[in-house]
Amino acid sequence: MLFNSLKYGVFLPIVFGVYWVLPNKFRWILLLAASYYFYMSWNPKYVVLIFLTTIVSYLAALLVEKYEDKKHKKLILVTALIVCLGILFVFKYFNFFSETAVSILSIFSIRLNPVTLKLVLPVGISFYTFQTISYVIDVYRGDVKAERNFGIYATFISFFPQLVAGPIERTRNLLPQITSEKKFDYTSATYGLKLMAWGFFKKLVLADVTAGYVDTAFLTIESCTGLDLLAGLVFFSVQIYCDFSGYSDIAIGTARLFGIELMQNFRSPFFSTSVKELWTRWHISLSNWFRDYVYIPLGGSRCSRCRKHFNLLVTFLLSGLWHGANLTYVVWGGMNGLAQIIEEYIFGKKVLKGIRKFFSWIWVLVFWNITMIFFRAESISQALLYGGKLFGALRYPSQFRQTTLGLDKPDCMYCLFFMLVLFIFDYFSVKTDVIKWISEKKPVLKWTVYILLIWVILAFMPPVNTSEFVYFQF
Amino acid sequence: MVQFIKKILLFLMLFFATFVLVLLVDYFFVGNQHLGNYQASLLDKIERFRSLEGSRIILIGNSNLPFGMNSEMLEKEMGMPVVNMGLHGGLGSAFNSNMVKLSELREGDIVILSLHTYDDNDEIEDPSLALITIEKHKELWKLVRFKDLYGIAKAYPDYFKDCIMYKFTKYDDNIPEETTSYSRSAFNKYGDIERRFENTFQFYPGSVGIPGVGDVCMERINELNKYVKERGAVLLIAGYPIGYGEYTPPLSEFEAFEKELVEKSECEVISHFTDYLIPYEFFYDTKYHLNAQGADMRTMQLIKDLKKWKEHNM
Repeated sequence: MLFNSLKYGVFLPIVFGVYWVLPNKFRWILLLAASYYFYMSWNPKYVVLIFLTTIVSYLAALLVEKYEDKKHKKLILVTALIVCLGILFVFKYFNFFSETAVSILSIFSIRLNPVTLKLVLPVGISFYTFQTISYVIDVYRGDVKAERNFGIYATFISFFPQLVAGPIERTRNLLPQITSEKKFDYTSATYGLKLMAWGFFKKLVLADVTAGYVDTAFLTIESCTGLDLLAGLVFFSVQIYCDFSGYSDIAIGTARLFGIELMQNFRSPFFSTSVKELWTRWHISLSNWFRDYVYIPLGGSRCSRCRKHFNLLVTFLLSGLWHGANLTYVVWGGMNGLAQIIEEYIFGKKVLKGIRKFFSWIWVLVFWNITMIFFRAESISQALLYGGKLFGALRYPSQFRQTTLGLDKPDCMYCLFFMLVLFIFDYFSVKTDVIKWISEKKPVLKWTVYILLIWVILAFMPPVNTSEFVYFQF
Repeated sequence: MVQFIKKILLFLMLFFATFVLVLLVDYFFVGNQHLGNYQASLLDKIERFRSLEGSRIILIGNSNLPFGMNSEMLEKEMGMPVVNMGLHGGLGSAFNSNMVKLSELREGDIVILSLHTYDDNDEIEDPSLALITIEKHKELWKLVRFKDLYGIAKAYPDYFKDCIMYKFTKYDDNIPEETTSYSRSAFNKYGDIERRFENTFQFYPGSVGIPGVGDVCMERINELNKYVKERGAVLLIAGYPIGYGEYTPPLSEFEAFEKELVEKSECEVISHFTDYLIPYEFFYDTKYHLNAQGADMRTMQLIKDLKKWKEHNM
């Protein structure tokens, strides 16, 4: 079920209404049923995978807690990780590794046909798998206690607002909230609705409209001018940001309606002045996950400089691979890791100010957009073709003329205007909570803003199709 | 919680009030802004059939009719005035078939239905296009059924935005220049295209398919048949132009389709669809748009079918 569908528009008010009518102790049961229904409305048979992952991690955590000796604990942890990651591997990475292995062997003149599986990638598998893994590791480390009630634990794993595309929640934050005594909070619920509206604006007005230009640019690289390719790239950065942060806003807003606070997933990432900072503002829940469960266990930064850089690079290569089973994502991850290593050599630990800060900001934007070529391209060769044509055009300004993407059309002008609105919103969001700030204004003003926002969403969203969120594929 | 529900209801009421306000502004201030395009040729067609006296031949279907028929020839040969009500396929067969209801049927009218498929989901395919077509013309709102309202309402803000845009800047993607084939002035008094593109379509594998026969569509057509019959008119199903050449599926598949259509239809199918096979060179565009020669060939075949039907029934 998509957030931007009529079905969800019916589903959410029903669940919301019943939730607050029920006594507190039964609410998790409703959330569990609603979450499984939410997931099954996409593909009922794949609910088995969530159930299996849930039951394995649930039992593993109980056993880890039961055993005293480290050897047994470790064995159980490793078994749980193998099962959970094994499911993820089969469904997401098997074909990629099989084809890559065959390609490598062919270099040594060993010709084999790759064994491939015809499986559909289950929606959200990367997200809920990482949530279960973090739970088992946290229990293993003694950071949290294992949940005894299987139903409550299953609700934690499958909580529908964040089930298919995060934020990847931590046990310490979400699990206690599932059963905690909650009273309806008017301010929190209305804040949730406003956040959802802003998320829909980002998704439907910016992400879905820019998607058309981006698709055309990447499908017709050869016939595009330099301006088309540049616009295609900038639009893709906006698309992916608005698509994913829009989803996160809707998820966080929805959870607020149930009195549950999810973690922030984006914090004005395009106002970062270093790639390192960007990764503390972009997909925060994933960045934190990799920091806590990969980077730090590898040794983190408390080791030699060389080892630290190795740890960083491995973390980002894995982060790239998490996004998709394609070399393009690995390259994208590697670029982000390398950039941070280079930044450390250039900037050190200096705090940038003034013009240097401005140029650092420009550097981050340029760098990020370049990496987006790899993130969006379907293959390395397509990425190289796109990059080659774009940078070739930069050398010859005449190639920027005669746009073929329809960039001169009013829809594109609207899009640029709304990008400016987003930019201003994000700029002020660095220091203040803009939604709260608007809420504190006079009723006439704030209600005008809300109604205008709804009208803008209705008038500018593509009228026919309901599009999926890009991060569903991860 | 009560306060929350009250605020939500108040917000919905305010939003509804702005919606009513927008409708009023649109109706009284903005007005119809798409009067020059292909869709607006429907207004001329309505005017024509209202001005005609006696029984008429009314052609109903999608764009294979306005872009593939010589209505003047049909009129001369059959001795009955013709109106070609066919319109853009993006509106969907349900919307296009409903055109019958605009024509204030009379006894003796012959309604000819020519679709390129008889399998659809009974929905308006492109509600934005439907809104551009009906605009604020009261009589055209008869084409919209209750079940279509959700799609229409969803498409309305985008339509309103385009209308405002055009009113103030005179820029709209949906309004072609006077010289193109998709402008209102490109059609003659019958509703046939007069100003075609100079082009020959290059067919490719898959560009000619076998039409389907779906229960939902056939149920609607059978209902339409009853509606037509009740008014003393007759509904007939006729062939559509089928590209004939290297990528055309075996003729037996068209015959099987025809057999199924005859079985499921309560109105008479007057054509053998394989009689409407027209070589690729006569198509300037698809779906399934013919050049002038192609349109004459298709019309001649329809005349044959109609005369044969008349011989047996009148």
